[in-house]
Amino acid sequence: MEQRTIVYDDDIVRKFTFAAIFWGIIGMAVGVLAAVQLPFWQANFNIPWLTFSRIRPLHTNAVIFAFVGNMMFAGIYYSLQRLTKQRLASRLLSNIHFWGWQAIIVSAAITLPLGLTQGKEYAELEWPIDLAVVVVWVVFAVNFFWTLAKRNEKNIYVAIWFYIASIVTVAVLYIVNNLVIPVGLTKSYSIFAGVQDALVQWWYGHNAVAFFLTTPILGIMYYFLPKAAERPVYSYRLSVIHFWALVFIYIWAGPHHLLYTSLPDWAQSLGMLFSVMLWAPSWGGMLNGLLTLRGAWDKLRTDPVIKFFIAAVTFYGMSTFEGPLLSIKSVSALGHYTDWIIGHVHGGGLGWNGFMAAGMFYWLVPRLYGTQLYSKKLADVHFWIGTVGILIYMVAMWVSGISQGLMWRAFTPEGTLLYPNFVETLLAIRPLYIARLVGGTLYLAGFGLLAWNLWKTARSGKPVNGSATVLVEEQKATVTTWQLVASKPIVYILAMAILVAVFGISNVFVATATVVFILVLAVIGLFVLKREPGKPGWHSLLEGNSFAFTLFVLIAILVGGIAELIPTIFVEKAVPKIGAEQVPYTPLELVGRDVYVSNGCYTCHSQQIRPFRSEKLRYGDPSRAEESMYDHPFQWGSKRTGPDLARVGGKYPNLWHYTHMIDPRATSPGSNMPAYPWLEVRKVPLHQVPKKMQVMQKLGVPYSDEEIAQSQQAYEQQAKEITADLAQNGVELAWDSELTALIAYLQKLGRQPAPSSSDSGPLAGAQ
Amino acid sequence: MYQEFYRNSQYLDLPLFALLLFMAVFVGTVFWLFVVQRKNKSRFERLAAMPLEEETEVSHDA
Ligand code: HEC
Repeated sequence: MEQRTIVYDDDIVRKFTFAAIFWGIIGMAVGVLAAVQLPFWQANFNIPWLTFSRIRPLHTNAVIFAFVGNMMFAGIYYSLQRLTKQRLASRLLSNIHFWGWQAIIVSAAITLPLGLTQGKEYAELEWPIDLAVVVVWVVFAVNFFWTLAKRNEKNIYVAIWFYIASIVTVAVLYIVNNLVIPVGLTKSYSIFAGVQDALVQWWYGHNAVAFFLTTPILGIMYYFLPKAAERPVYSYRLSVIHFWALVFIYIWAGPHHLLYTSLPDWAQSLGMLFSVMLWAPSWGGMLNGLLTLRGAWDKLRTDPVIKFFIAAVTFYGMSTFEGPLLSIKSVSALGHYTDWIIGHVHGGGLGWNGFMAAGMFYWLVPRLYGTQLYSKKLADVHFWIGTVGILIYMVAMWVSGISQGLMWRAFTPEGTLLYPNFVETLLAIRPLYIARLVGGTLYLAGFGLLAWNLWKTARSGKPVNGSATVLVEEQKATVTTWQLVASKPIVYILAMAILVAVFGISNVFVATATVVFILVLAVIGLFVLKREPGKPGWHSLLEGNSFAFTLFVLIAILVGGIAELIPTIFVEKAVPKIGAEQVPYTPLELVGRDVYVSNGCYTCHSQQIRPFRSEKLRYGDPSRAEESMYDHPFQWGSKRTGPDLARVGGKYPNLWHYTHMIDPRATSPGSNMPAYPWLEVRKVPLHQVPKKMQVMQKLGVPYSDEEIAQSQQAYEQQAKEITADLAQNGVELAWDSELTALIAYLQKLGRQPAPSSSDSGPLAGAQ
Repeated sequence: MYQEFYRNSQYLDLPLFALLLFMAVFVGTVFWLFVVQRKNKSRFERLAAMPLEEETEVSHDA
């Protein structure tokens, strides 16, 4: 035994903290600007890089990766050192992590407004930046696990479990969803297409919410809330359940997808049950947080930190209730594509993430500078305008989403659409867009107060580092990893897994027998797995062994991910059978599609008609899977600020599109769509056309070598047909302008040959 | 749409398998915590107290 004093590296925590506050303000300010543009379209000043569809991706990426990212790194590095009683393993790695992450943010802030994008939500960054993200993430992981390995504390507190799960899962999600083939340094195509790409994207999107915005912040909650309340977490067991529930149920996003597949009914019901089960642990987690305050409720009145934490946990509870609610089919039918979803996201983002961040910063900064908070009053003011801001925001979006959703599907007694003109439904919600703007501005103002308050706090003190004295024992390995792997519980779980697999692939009789067998094995397990007296329990070994623990979590999320993705990815073989008649994009249309992606039209337009009567009347026949089979990436969108475009081809003449893109109000009075006059002036990079088609060919789009060789001529010919048509109407447009290509693409949408057999008919039996 | 898409997949047993496996493991964990470990209160109390340990501050320059 030897006594040692450890001085923590809090410098890196200070850096990440102020970076988070800085980017938070920028990210939210961009959000406010985007919110201004919806009721006041003029607010983009006709500048391409200030246009809604360019800054919306900037806003989402900034608040998720720059604000919450930096905040979580600050919280993780602070608590990791205290919980392991060890200084961060490497100052160099910490610094590479910090500066690398900031460089990534800056390059995102430059490229996204320029329209360099992969066109998938929250995965917009182009491939060179993605590579940098992966490198920096690995640096972070090495620094984290290295510190963990050197720890001076045997047990691993539950917060660290949450961090481990986040690090491992985010890496897997990010890599899979960003698999692309580059065309050049600034352009690439997703290797997945259509339905597959959609499924991979939302597997990523769903789990990014779980493992970037939820689990790391829960870890932070389990550390900082007890700290601020000065009492241990209400129930440690509940936090363990909370953790495994997130790893085993949340990553298993299957339930939403299962609802749409041809799986047997019992599986769908089980999937639903699983979704509902997610409510319980989330609410368990919320109660666990709230009840940590037991006996100290007075702090809720006096301590701003506690106020923020408790409000944040309450918003967490609200969002985890609303999420599963929105995944119920009939609710989704109304809420999907509307502002309801935006409201839901901001309840989580502003309420849970933003308030957890604020609470943590108010607690942390005075301690990082060995002083007191500059002004408690100001923090209270922040709390109240922040809360009022969120409530205005959410209520505005609920009302807006539900009203527009109802208007889209309202019928006259004669059975036609009551509001056939999309703009009517848009004008109805305009006041709510203004209300949302007020809510968002209030929230931003509150955050400004935080920045000011914490700046003054830091100025009034001097940077200090925490320190602790530890007793260091000679490390002796009590169990090897192999002993752990070959232990009874693992063997038992494997046996169960095999039985379940047999059940899955067998017929009714064998399956019934298997179920009986599983039950018998379960009962036997009760006795066999009893702890032998004197020996440490299995789970406590796992808890003490960070490597085995990480491996276990990794396997769990891989099994979940693979099980969900394999059926999606390997469906491919069958698609060409029905897709044989699909005509790929011509060179001009392909380039037009790139213009569409680059300008972020998917931030306002969906390309996915649902099988509802109202949608059929408004947009045409429901979308079919094979129609987007050559779409790398898919552009189904998730929000209809404007109408669906899946079948807009042929709906209007070229002249209409020309006029509309230059000035949407000229064709559609009341529209809030931005004008895109620069598309008329900008030339497309013609020399890239063959290269683009080659990449598509590699990805399985049936272009012949000859077509690729002739692509530039074909491009020119088709483009000149469009410009000639426009010229007849007195409009001069250069054949190699971006607008010509975009018009060609829009005119192609939904104009695939109709399905020949009933085989690929649209989904039956929906509303 | 999805139904139509997935009809062509041969691997639909996989998600079923994972669903059941995950459910089993999760139920196992709950069982372990609240039945097998029910008498182990002190251990959880010790773990829960981990964030609350005191520390001292030293000047940044030190
Ligand atoms: C701020 C949201 C917004 C953005 C961004 C946006 N649009 Fe629109 N768009 C609308 C709205 C609202 C309408 C309906 C009113 C109208 O016709 O202008 C619309 C209508 C359309 C229509 C006519 C659809 C129909 O069936 O009548 C087309 C085509 C279109 N947009 C194309 C585009 C393209 C291409 C882009 C990207 C360069 C784009 N839009 C970006 C909001 C948007």
